[in-house]
Amino acid sequence: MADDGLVSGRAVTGPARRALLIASAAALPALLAACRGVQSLGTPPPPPTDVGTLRNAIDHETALVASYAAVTAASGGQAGAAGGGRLTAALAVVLAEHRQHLAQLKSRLIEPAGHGSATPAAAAGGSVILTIAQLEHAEQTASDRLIGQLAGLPPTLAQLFASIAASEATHVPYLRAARRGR
Amino acid sequence: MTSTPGTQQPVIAALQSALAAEQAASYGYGVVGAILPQGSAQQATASTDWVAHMRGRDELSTLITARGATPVPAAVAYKLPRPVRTPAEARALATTLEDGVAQAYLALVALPEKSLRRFGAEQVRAAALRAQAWRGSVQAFPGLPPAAVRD
Repeated sequence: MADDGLVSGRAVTGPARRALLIASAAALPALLAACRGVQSLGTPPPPPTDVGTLRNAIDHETALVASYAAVTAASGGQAGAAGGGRLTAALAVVLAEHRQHLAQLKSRLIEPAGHGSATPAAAAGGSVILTIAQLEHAEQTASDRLIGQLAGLPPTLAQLFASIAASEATHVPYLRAARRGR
Repeated sequence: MTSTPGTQQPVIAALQSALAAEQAASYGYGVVGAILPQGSAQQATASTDWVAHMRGRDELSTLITARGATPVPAAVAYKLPRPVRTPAEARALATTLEDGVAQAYLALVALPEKSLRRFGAEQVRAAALRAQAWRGSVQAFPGLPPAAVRD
């Protein structure tokens, strides 16, 4: 077997990828600063494409978590309605999975101080309460977006994106069934 | 195709693994369909899923052949992970089969070839959706072994 990680279906894992991100996102500006002097500190090079893609995915996942947290909080009083208890439970399950997605995405990114990604509007609090149908649409959109961003990513990150994309697609029928009380 | 035989080896291996998973699923769904109640909606779903796996098998065979390799034929029979005598056990088998298919296709996503990555990801998603329907619940990381997403 030339590559156990491929043929066994196991994810390619390990600290090597993280080390690469550290090198690309953190060490490179420091190295350039050392070579060019103080003036280069004002214009750090743009991050590699995959770092930008990862930051983007983190921002979108953060927004999804915020949306579910808002809907879950708002739906708490509706648990007594027909199917409401089932839906409230399903929302909690999906929110927990999004939090796991976000944690895994963040674990792949180690940023230097001052390079934190911008907080997306939806995560900044006071976000609009989405309907369950809108959440289902957001899940499908998120799944499609992640699959559309696979090209050029390191293998382990591509696998994480694909797995999260699959998970988020399954939230659509799961929420739909809960919404219909099935 | 500009890749050398050496660089194609992991690609062929991953495609053959996915093919093996599809072949096992095709066989397994025959068992699932036989155990589920005759004429039930679940048996119809099993039939639909079986067709999806046959198509996946054919598509993988085409991809392997296009790369100058020979698809490994299916086994005559497969050892089931556990006895299947009841509808609940049949549904559990279907879930297990889909989890295996998702894991096999996720290996394609680690390959550098853009079209295979997308194909693999779409098949992981399709398997996860079928698994969700059988399981009735969701998973945070379909296809990924737990060790890959440990905190």
